[in-house]
Amino acid sequence: MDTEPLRQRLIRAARTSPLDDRVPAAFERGIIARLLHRRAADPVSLWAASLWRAVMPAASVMLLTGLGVLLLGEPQTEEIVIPSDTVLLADLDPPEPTP
Amino acid sequence: MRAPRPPVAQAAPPPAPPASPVVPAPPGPPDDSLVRATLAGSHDAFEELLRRHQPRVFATARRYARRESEVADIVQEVFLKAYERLPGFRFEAPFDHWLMRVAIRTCYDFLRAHQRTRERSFSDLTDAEDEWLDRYRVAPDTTTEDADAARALVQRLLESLPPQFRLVIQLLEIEERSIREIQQLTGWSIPLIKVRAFRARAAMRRQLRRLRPAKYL
Repeated sequence: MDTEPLRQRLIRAARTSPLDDRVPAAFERGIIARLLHRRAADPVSLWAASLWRAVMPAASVMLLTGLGVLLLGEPQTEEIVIPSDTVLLADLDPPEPTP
Repeated sequence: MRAPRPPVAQAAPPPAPPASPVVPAPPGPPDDSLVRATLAGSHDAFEELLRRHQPRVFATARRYARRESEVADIVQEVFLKAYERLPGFRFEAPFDHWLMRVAIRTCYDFLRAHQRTRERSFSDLTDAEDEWLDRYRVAPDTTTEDADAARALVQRLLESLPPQFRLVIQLLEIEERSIREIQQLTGWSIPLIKVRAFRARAAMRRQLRRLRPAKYL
């Protein structure tokens, strides 16, 4: 069953469709009004955009600082080590008589 | 000493491009000047560009959307996108070519977004479409192509196709644009356009075969 001739006929029918280029009245004014409205709303979006742009540099600085502290930080020179039993039994020990 | 040359007859005008309609230059400043003024912040210049080009964009949008509210939405989006992307306009091609690229791509996005809501049964014909097909069956050579019923039928047939098939049939077969033009308008590669055109034609033939073949074909 060859449907190509019918398809061709319908395509030719579509070519005869008249061009409809009517424009609603003052359509361009509506678009300009929308553009102006967008511009009025711009400070907030600019602020948001700059915040987003700042995310990556801020994260990089944080990461590098963290790594620097971990790798290059000075080790603790003195450690205060108190045996745990001394701390726990501190109250039970009789006080030393004062001379 | 050479004698002065006689005045040369005017050179023959270059042949007009066959496919795209010739748009006479509008009065007033050229498009490029208006684009530059828009980039410098003039809304009046953009309004003038809108006034010049909106009929063509409306005509394009009406090929892909049926309801006037949808058409208006598409055209509005085209011009808002054009305004946003205007800093990327490189003044290498005419402004209206660039704008048509934005328009075609916006129409394609619209088709893709409304794909599910537009799926309709192609086999449910109106009485007028039924009669036109009857006449085609009896006398295929004498059936008129400019009948409203035929136009409605092909419109329904196009609406039943997936967006990429509909777009390629519209541009290649109905508007009779070259593959190179379609490549520039859609951004698709040439092999992709050819494959899509082949598949789109096959899909149209498949849809037509579903039309009660015993009666019509």
